[in-house]
Amino acid sequence: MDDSPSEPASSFELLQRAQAGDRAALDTLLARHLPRLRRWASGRLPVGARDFVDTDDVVQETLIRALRHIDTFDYRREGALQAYLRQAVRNRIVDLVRRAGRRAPADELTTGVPDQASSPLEQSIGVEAVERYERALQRLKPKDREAVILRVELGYDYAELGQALQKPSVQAARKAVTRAIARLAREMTNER
Amino acid sequence: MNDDDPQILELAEAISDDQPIDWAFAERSAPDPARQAVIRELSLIARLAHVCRQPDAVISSEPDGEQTDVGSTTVEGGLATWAHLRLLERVGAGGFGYVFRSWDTRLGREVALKLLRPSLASAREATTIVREGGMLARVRHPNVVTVYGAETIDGEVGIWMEFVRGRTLAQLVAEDGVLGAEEGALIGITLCRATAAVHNAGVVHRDIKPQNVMREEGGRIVLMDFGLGRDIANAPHSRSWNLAGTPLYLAPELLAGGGPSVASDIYSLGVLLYFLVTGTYPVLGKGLEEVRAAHQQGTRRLLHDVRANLPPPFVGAVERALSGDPSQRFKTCGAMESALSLVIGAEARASLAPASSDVETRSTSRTERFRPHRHILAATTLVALLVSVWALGTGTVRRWLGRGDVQPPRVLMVLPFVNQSQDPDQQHLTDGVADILTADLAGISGLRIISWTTSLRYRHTKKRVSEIASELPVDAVIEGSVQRSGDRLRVTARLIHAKSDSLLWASTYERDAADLFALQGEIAAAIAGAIRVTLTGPEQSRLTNRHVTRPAAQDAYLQGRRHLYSFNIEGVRRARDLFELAVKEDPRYALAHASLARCYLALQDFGVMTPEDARLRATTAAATALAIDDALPEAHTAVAEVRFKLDWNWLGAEQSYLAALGLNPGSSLVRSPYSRFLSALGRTREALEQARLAAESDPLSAEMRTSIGVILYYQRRHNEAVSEYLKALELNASFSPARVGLGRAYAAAGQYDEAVHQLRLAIEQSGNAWNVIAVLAGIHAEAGVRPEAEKLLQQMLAQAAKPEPHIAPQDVAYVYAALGRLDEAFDWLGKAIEHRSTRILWLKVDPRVDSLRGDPRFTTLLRSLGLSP
Repeated sequence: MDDSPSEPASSFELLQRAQAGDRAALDTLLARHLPRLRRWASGRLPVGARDFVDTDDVVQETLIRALRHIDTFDYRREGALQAYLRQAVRNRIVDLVRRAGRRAPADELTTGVPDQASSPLEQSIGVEAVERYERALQRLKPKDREAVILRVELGYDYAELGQALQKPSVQAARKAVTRAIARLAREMTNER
Repeated sequence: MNDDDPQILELAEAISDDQPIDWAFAERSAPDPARQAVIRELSLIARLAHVCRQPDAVISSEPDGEQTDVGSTTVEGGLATWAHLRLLERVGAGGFGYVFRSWDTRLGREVALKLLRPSLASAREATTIVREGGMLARVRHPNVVTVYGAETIDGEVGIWMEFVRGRTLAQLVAEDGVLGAEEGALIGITLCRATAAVHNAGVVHRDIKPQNVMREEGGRIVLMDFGLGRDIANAPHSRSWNLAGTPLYLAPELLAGGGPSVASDIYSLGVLLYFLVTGTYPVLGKGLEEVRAAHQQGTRRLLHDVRANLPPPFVGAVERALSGDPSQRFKTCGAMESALSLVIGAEARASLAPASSDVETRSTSRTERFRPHRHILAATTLVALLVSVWALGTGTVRRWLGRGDVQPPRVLMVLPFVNQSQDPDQQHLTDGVADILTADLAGISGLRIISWTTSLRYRHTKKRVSEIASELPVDAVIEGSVQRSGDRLRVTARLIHAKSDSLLWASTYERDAADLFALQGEIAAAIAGAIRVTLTGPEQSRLTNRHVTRPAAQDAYLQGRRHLYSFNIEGVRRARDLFELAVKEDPRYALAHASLARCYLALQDFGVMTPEDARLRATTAAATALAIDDALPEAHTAVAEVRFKLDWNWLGAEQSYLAALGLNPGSSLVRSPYSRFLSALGRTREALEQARLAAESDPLSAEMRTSIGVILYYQRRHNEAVSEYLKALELNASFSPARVGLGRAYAAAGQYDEAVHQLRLAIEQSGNAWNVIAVLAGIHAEAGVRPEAEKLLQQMLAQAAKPEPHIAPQDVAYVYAALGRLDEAFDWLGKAIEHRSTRILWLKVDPRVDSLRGDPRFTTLLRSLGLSP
């Protein structure tokens, strides 16, 4: 889908400008992606980690780093970029949690105390289910994965989704998400 | 089933559209297990989507039922932000104003913002509210919502606080029905503690009601929403506030125009508890006027008349809180808490009266000063066990733990209890209760208990249980208090879930002081029952068959125990005197005999008792303890120590250590000496294992860390030893054995300057102890600074000629060995063996005698110690 000149600059364009050193372009990208990912991260960061990690800082730092270093060409599609950034934040959280664990080594005594170690999402649907979900998500085709992430996790409306996934209509976007969710559920049963 | 399966696609579409789905129905209507499995995963995705869309699904400050302006979606004043808070969604509304889920843009966190309706607050009131908000922000209590701040901006008063998810107690009752007295009392106890914290901050809550108390998903009870502004009750807007709720909780003196006070909060607590167990209120009325009139006419419905099957202590506590005359109510929340804590066991006991009748023969006939009900005192261990079972039967504990929390606690810690006696000298008794409870729980095989020496570090802590849990690997914490009045004791104990800071179990016991030990066992068994640990036969009998001693003997014993923990010469001497007194008062007191043996051994170690004297006395004391009670782990440990350190009976010692461990597997007080024994034998790997286990249950003990350091030093892992000693010193910088060890390890690693520095500090800390000076001399010699070493050696030799203080011959030998004067070294080692000096027992592993090992005389020495080369 072509971006008409009157529409706001595409992330792809901004990304190229940002990587060329355009500070304003980077700010625009951050403004575009930060709020949703912050909110997303707040559900994914272990409750106990909040004592030593500032969610906002983590997300912001990760985005800046990721935006500076990714190969722009692979992320022409808005949805692909958003899914990539979401994954970057997730990796960063996993890394932080692992490091925190190293600081206070888990031993026999601590294994019975999962309290602070799980995120609100894990507390809600269970650690094991979140992991199964993540693994299945990674096995999906990129467009299916993006559809799930954007709609289910990041709350894109269908119009935004249509743009990000390069779908011709809102209906087409809705249908793409529906199918992606169905495939994801089926994929999740594959390891039960 | 394929990608086009219409049922699956329909459900997926509903998830995407955020439509409600009846998952149970969907799963039932699926034709085969494969599709059912997919539907189950879809329901997980739906929940995940729900969490992502609405990270705070259930939110605090839900509306008070009937209210004004409900359903309006526009925000009054069209606010999108307020101060540094971005308003996300309105989650509550009432006569006071609105509550918004908001985003604190400064700190980047979600908060609940309560905005007061502008017309409600005059400028003066606004100032008061903001000032109070500041005071509330200082209240730090696990069961009080954390207030972050309060401000007035353009005449609008806002107060922002922690965002809490869960259900209010009003919802709980509406959805699950009224509560039992026990659960009501547990909530009441928690709320009394929470309200007391508010009162201690100099604030009156003013608006305690079930709508303002949340139960989080994890079970934590949180006291929320403070009444804002003292004039609200009499404000002209009173017509608009929720008459179905608030006035029913207002104390009569408030309705009569009086000001809010501690007493009016206590009244509200009373109404809240009344409501929790009945679903109705003591004074009814359709509006402020009717309620006021009902109070004036004295038409209060007594709790007993509304629900007859409640235990009298519960009814008594609630009715007292509801007294029309404020001076007749509890003076403080603490007093109300105490009264409520009597309920926990009482209801169970009352309901178990037939079951307990056959064991009442053991009841006491002594004075009954505290006794509210005769049958409470009749309770015995069996009853206490049944209490827990009963509590589980009614679901109290299960419900309390909440859905997500199926694992009952297994790692516990007993915090030092609070001495509530008038007499501060009763601290030893208070400590003794918690200390012995720790030991009792450690003897239960299903539990891991953090040791008493670690607990002691939390004596004056103001930390929340959840904060302690973040420092130590504990699931739950036991806290309590002891009150002594003459020969009567009142002990309260509470089990607090570490994760949620919520109360899992609580009980109050009233006994004769002489029954203390029986009571300890009873409490331990009750706690085990409450968290579903099954006791083995021997465990149960150890907890129930307690030696009943005379109060004077028990007193002396408990005081002695406290001195023993000091680990210094004076403390141990004092402990010895007290234990001797205890066995004089009660010659059948096995625990006191066993502890006495420990004292003699320690005094011998310190060099203030000759080995001969110590051997005679310690052997007698340990043997007596064992003869009286061969199921007492302490007796076996005492025998083991005597066999090891004084008799050099290695085989016998190990048997006794193992017997003690069999009886009390969780005790670091057994593992730690056993570990030292193993290292002397040269079995350093096993020793290290035991020492690490001991340190796990005693994570804050410098002594345990030091033991690990010593073993690593014996294994020649000097750098690791250094790091263990440093950890020990972090825990207790004045623990001189760790500093001596650190110096030795530095020296062994070739860092002589650092070693000498540490030793100088240690000499100062130990008060110029000769054994420490000897280590410094040895280090000088190893470092090649011979004149210094020789100088110290001459001082030691001069001292050795004198009778006191005693210089251990092996200390002299180590200096000679370091100086390369091997003949003298062997001479002095020979003397050490002759004197049966304890510290020579580690000869086999001690790096300081490495220069002697090739010599045949060394083999002879080891053989004479009973050790193989």
